[in-house]
Amino acid sequence: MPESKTASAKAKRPASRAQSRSQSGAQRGAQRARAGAGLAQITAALRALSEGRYDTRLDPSKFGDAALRGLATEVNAAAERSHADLADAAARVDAVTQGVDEAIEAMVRLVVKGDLTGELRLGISDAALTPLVAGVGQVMETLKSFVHEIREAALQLSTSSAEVLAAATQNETSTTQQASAIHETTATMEELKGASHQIAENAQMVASIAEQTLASGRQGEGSIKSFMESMEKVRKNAVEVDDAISKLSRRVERIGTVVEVIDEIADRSDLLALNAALEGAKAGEAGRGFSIVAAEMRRLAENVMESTKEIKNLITEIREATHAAKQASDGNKRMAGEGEKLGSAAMGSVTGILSGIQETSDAARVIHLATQQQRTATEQVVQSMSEIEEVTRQAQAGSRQATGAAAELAKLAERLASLIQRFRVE
Amino acid sequence: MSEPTSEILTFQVGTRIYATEVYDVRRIGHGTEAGLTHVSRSCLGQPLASGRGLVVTGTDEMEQALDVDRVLGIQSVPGSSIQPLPAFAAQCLGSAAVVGLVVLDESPTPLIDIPTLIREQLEISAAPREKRIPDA
Repeated sequence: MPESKTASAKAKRPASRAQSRSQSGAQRGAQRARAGAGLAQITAALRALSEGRYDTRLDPSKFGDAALRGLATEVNAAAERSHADLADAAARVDAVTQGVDEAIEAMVRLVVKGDLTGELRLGISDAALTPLVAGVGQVMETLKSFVHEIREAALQLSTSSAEVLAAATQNETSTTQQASAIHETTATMEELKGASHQIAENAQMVASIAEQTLASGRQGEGSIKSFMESMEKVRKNAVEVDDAISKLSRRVERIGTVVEVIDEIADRSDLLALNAALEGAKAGEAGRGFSIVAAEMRRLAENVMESTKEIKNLITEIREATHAAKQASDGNKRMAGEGEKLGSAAMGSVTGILSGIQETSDAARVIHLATQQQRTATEQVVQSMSEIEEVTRQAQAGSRQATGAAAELAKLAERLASLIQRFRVE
Repeated sequence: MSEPTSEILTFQVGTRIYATEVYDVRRIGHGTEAGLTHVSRSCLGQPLASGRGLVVTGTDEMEQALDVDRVLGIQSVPGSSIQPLPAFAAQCLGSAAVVGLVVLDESPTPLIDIPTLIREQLEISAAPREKRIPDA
């Protein structure tokens, strides 16, 4: 052993140096040197033992001093004992390690097989491994419990994932239908927007027409007023004409009376002339001149009667014309009266119509404003619907992803259930 | 030596023109003159207006009138213009009042004896109905 040799060498060198210093004292010195060397050897041996070199041994025979020899022997005994204890400890460690390996191997074997129905049977007799065995048993029980819980959880997870998948699928379907409905609604709202625009334009046109109609109605009202004034004038004129006709008729009647008198006179003259001519003719040649005068008188009377006849014809025509004028005047008065009545009725109607047109115009204006608001609101709704459609499209995409994730989750749940089925716990 | 003339009074009844001698007519009156016996309907026809009455003196000196429409006038005609009614024609006529024909303006016009006509007509009017002579 090098250390021992070194220690011996180190022990020899002081002794040599002590022999050289003093012969007398050399004896004691030699003794002390030998004792010191022996102690140094023992110390070195103890240091080696303390450093774990349990095979370090001293040769007691080389110690001259009995005490040192005994000490060396005890050191050797302690070293032996320590060595033996270490061997025992190593053996126990090996046994425990083997037990642990066996336990782990058994546990791993059970886990790999997935059979957790039985109990872990170990051939370990070491009492020190009893807690380990108990712990492994507890681990197995815990594992069983875990497997059981995981199986139930996997089953629930599978069921839940199926439900989630179904719900996600339903959600995706609903989202798709919702997206379709929203798309249709958006399209409808676009059409409604166009219709609202058209309605707004039409309402504006109606309002404009109502305004024009109102203006025309007011013009009509003014025309009816003018018409009624004209009718009043016509009626007054007709009354004046009627009066004039009455005067004319009276004058004509007067003329007729005069003409009748003239005619009567002419007739009498004619008659007188005839009788004169008759008497003249009866008187023969003596009455010739008388007859000539009578004939002339008769001619004049006939002329007068012809004239009166013409005058009578004229009077008759004037009477007929006057009668016709009277009838026309009466008709004018009647028509003027009826015109005034009709004008009044028309005025009432136009007033009502104007009121209606005014209300229509107001309503058309309100409708115009309402349709403008409706158009604006519709445009906002269309904008909102577009945003909703975009959001729905995103939701649809998210729903598809959720469905895919749910399907993947269902597959994972099935796989987890399949994996956990490998562990039999009952 | 000039031809003797006759004074002829022409009158109209309806559309027909007749003639009579002026000496048969006392005067000319109105067709509606009161106080006279008027004869309107006769074999000469019925006047439309009865404007004149040819007044004659009746048998009892009462004036009687033949109603006519018009008195056309009095004119002198040559005696040769007056022709008596042919006997055959006189026999054919139911009245003796038509005494001849007078040519006026180249047209033959019946010459009427008005007093006779009135007398006949008054007799007819006074006679029973079945004995009346039908109108000409």
